[in-house]
Amino acid sequence: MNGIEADSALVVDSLCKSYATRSGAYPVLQRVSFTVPRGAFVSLLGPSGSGKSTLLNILAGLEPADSGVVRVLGRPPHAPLPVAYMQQKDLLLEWRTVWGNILLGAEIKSRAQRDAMAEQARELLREYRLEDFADVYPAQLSGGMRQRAALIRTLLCEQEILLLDEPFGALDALTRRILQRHLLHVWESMGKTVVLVTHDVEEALLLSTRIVLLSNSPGRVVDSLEINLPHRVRAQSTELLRLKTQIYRSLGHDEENIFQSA
Amino acid sequence: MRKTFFNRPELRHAELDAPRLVPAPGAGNDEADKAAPETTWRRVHLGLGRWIYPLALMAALIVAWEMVVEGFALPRYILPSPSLVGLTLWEKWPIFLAHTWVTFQEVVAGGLLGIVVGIGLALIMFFFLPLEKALYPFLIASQNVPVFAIAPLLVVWFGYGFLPKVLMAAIIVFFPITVSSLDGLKRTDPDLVRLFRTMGATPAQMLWKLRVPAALPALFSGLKISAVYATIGAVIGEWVGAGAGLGYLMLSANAQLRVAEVFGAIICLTPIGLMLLGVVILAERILLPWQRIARESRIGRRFELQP
Repeated sequence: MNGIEADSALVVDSLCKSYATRSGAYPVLQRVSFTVPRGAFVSLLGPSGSGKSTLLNILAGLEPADSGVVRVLGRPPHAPLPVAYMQQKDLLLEWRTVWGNILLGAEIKSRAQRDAMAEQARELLREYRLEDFADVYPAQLSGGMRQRAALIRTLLCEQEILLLDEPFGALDALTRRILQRHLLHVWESMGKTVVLVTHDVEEALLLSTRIVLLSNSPGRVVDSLEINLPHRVRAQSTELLRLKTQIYRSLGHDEENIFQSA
Repeated sequence: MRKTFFNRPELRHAELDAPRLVPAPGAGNDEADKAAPETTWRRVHLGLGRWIYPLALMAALIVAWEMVVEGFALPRYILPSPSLVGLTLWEKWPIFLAHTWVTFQEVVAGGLLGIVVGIGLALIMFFFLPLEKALYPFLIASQNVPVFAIAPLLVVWFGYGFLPKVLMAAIIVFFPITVSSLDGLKRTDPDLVRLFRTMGATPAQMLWKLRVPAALPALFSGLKISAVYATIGAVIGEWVGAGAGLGYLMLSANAQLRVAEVFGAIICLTPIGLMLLGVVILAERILLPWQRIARESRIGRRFELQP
């Protein structure tokens, strides 16, 4: 166990969570455990209702878990996690320009922090081809541009771990691909640790170094896959096809069965 | 050697940089071109139509009024003709101006007081939930008491002067302000609240950087209603007991059947409310530029980036 933990950034151990309903406690997460190595790109993959978002909310410190531990190694057990959180909704503040929005996280820390981040903010805007839109309000941007601005804001929070809750779920397929490439680039160049929640099998396969599979309600970890292929070759890889079949099988969606019963 | 694209690096850069701003697919070039005549027509329509149609209607009504009065030979103490009203305004303008000024001051002072009290009340109720629960029913009930019923009391307590009119206007104004700003504060997107929490925002930051800006559009809706209502409060205050103001002028002219003066007072009353409304709309444009931009770009996203 120590061997695994030594290079892990984030350890999630036996998380349980249930919500109170009229008919009693409804379990959402059941003894969920996994580790996220430092610098890894881990996807939490599962059908809707597998408690993925609840899990991410717990990691982000927005909800308490009923039992179990989440901690970052090298830090005191109950310290707030060094995470930046991003949702499917871009959550840009409509009354702030793009510039005001992307520096929100830094501004909340301190004014000095905001001034210190200005150079990096400009650089990211350039990289994401938003530099002409710094003074524009979010309402004037397309969905893809808004989501890019939200991603820049998340990066400028300067946290080690990025928690992304289906960040590209609302985008069209082409824009999603572009943003996925951006995200990969950020992950590689900035050395961040990424935890991505998704129900898109392809997305998980194309991006992650590890996939944690969650079953349907209550969410349990049913499998965990390592993907060691370089990202460049993945789209054409037959290995990926094999992994895809394995994922569907683990989630109880055997394609042969589906076609037989149809 | 002929200068081509390839041996002029500065051009190449321009080429690379230029096509970044292209219209969104939804509002693409083709559609924009096709829509151009219609847009021009719309602009003319909006620019002129905004004023021409109501002005034409007003002119028609005035002419009809004049004809009715002349045709039926109505006595001036029942219904004066518009020309007589105009003449009265012209001849007695210093009197009308003096009374308008009094009413204007009451309206502005009462409106400001109502805004301050209204916003303060909303903030207090927002931060102390028990207080909201306790106050809200009374707030609603208070609106079922006709302001006319309170007006004589205010005269008993505060006399015939400036203060009871100001209070009257404030009483009418505060309710829409309180309700709209409380509603605005409460309707902050819970996901945004969570985002601020993950960023480690303090309660003060949560208020000033999130809740207040998010509530401003709702507050302005309340302000627009209040700008119109404030005048009503002041006039009612003047009706029940005053020595000056347009309400006072109206009542004394009415008692002496100088109906043309009553109409003159009504005409003087309108610009007060319109002016306040104009100030509110102007303030909204300056303080919330993003709202107008959001409204305009609802027609179509402005920009789309090339992949």
